[in-house]
Amino acid sequence: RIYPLMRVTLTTSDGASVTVSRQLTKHSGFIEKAITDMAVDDNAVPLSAVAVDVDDATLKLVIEWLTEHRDDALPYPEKTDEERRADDIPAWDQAFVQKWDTKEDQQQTLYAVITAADKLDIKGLLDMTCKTLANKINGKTVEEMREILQLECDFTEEELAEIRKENAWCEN
Amino acid sequence: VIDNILSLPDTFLRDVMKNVDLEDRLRIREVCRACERLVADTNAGFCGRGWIQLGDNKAYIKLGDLEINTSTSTEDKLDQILQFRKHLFSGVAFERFRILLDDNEYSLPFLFEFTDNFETEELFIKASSDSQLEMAVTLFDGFPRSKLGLSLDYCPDTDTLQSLPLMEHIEISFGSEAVSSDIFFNILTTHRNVHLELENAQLSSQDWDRAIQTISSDNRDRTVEFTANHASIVHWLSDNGIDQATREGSVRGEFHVDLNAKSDHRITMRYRNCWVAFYAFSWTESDRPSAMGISKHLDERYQRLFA
Repeated sequence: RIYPLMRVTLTTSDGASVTVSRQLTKHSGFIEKAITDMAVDDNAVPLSAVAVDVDDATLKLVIEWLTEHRDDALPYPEKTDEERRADDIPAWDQAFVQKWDTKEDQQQTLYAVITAADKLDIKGLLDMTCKTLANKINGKTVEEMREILQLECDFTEEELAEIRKENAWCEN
Repeated sequence: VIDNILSLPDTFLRDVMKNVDLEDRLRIREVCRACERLVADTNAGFCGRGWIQLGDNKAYIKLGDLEINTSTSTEDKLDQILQFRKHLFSGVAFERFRILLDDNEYSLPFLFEFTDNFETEELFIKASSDSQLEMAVTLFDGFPRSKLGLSLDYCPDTDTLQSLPLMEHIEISFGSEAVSSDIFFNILTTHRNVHLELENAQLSSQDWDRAIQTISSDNRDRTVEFTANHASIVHWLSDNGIDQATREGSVRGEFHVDLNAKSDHRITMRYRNCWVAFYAFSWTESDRPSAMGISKHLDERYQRLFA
């Protein structure tokens, strides 16, 4: 039973408080469990605060996504490996992620949202960010991948040559 | 602040790796040591169709869009392929995986190890000898949740044929072997979709009647196809009142003749809940076998035949 007007206050890891509708928090397995565990009166307005291990800036992005997806079906449909595809990200979600691409720290923002979605157990957001990250990697050269993922090559020349020799079996 | 993909939650990274193409996994291996481990330790997800063909002088493997092709299949080379597979994923899923066996003594242990942690909706194996069929049955045991398919281009003994596990698809080319009606009906009643090349089977009109009745009364949605002796088919059709002169739209017993075309050598009929088709059929040319299909499922091919 979810009351559309019922609200819950979230306290962030950097001390901020945000009050949101239960219509949004129902998509978070973590928050819903916290509310259930508190065994509070569902009619209390607002509900007691739920502490979330997410900073204020990231939580604002999560709430923006939840607001757009407030009417999504629950439980989130589990997909088999066969049904899984990375090219079906809704247009609004693509634009939502694109906004960060203009920022220097866009990769950190994406990682922060992924970590928040994982901590708050928001399956739809995890699925979307998972596809976003896979799409960033798919079709890229090794150098481009290193740049996108901000990773340094720590192989010796000999190790790298060995990997390339194995991979070459697939190139004929 | 997380600034490194490798610090993301493990379950999340596993999901990302299921959304990455196999060809991209090859390149991710080269990024850094941690990425090489990530590729090796994660499932590659769904890759469509897969295929392994082993032969005296080759090993050809196709996993989705990725091909591994070597000109030798020595024990050393197969070991190297196994190592490579372990470096590329921990598991993978397919819609259909097909294996063409050979008699190499290393084939079975290689295939066991290569397909470890594979999931496939259907596993289809082609065998050409008793030892290969034994390998196929052993491999089938490792895929209890998959639909099974088997293609035999030789004729095993009766006991072996009757002990086969339930097949979603079975194709048997009996060649010049005589096939008893007992064997014929055992295959027909056990397996779901059946394709038999029976040029030398001595089946009577009563046998064909029983065959079509068996399929019609089976509650499974299925298709069976035969390549059979021309005289035996023509005799059966004649016994049911169907011949070269039968007009389209005629009803003969429980057969409704839809098409009796001389131009494209096609006859199509309905029998109870079955669609029956003869393709490349000639009433007069008796020197080539006749191909017949009986289907309870109007798939794309049968829709075209009955169009």
